[in-house]
Amino acid sequence: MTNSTALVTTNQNHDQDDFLEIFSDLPPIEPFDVKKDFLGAQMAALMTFSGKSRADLVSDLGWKKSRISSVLSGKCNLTIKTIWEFTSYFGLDFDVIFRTSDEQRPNQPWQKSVEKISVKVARRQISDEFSKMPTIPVIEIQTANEVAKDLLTGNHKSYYFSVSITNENDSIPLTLEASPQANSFFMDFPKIQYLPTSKE
Amino acid sequence: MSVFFRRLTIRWPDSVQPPTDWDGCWKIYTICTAANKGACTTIADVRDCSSKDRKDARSSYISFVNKGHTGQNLSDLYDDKQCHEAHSFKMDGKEIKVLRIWGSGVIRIYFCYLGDKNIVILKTWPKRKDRLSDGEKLQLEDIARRVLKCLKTNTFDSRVI
Repeated sequence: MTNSTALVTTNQNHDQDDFLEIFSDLPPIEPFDVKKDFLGAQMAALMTFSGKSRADLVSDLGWKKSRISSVLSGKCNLTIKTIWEFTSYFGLDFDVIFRTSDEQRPNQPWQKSVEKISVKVARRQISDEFSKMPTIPVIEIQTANEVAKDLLTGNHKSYYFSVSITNENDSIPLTLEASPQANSFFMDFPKIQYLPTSKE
Repeated sequence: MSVFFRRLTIRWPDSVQPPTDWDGCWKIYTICTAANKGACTTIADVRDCSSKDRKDARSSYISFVNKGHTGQNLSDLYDDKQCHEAHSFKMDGKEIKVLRIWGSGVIRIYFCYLGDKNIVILKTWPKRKDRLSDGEKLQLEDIARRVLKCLKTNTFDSRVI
């Protein structure tokens, strides 16, 4: 079941033998139980990614709190109608994708929002306020949508990092996906020059 | 106690594809007391439990991995009863929170966040009482301090086995 089409994940093989040993005398896990749990987690993630809470679903969907917990618990055999009502509430549609177990799953909306942005900072200026901070701040690169979401939900960071280009030669290469969004959203950001990649 | 880290791995049924890592997913680690995957404390925590409790532990870990795969805030993916703060303490002036997941049965998984989308399981306990004893809190705190020291000394990555 997917709400998207792009594939960006890669498989990793994990060593499972030691953990297998401690469960070896137990009946095998029911595949269907694992699937139910996975679906419940995905639906809970959609709710969280959309900025909604369980209380919002109670008031907006008219479902009881116990039903919300049940749907998101991963323990229920959900009907298509329930999944459809839930998905529609977030303005989305869903499909069932048939694939082999070694094919990668398509990405969900929250996976698509994590974009890789390569920023090569030609020159770095640290403001007086930043340099006085008692602890080393966490520096992360976010997409415009993520910053907007933080601002709207009151979860904005203490500081934002601005990038200045002082002359044309101090270029900051960005990925194809990142540059239009970064440029269009942040009015306070100086214009970031989009450089064509070597592939273009 | 030395600390090393290994990823939490559970055998998925053959017909079901396990979640695969992507850039935004939570990576769940367990602690090993030596540079040897067999010295995993989570395995030790669960090995001597009853079969019922081990079955619940297995379900809880599967659910933890499934939810961790989404990369979303775990406290929002579980309800308040299932995931909440179990203990907190100060280390180097910062408040460190130990969280607890109640997945199935009496199994409780205690973990803390390490930053960079990393989570480490500190302890798995079959709890028949809701509250942690003072001794259990100290035990969790001691483990968490050893783990966080690796972050402070930038040795976390080198300790992943």
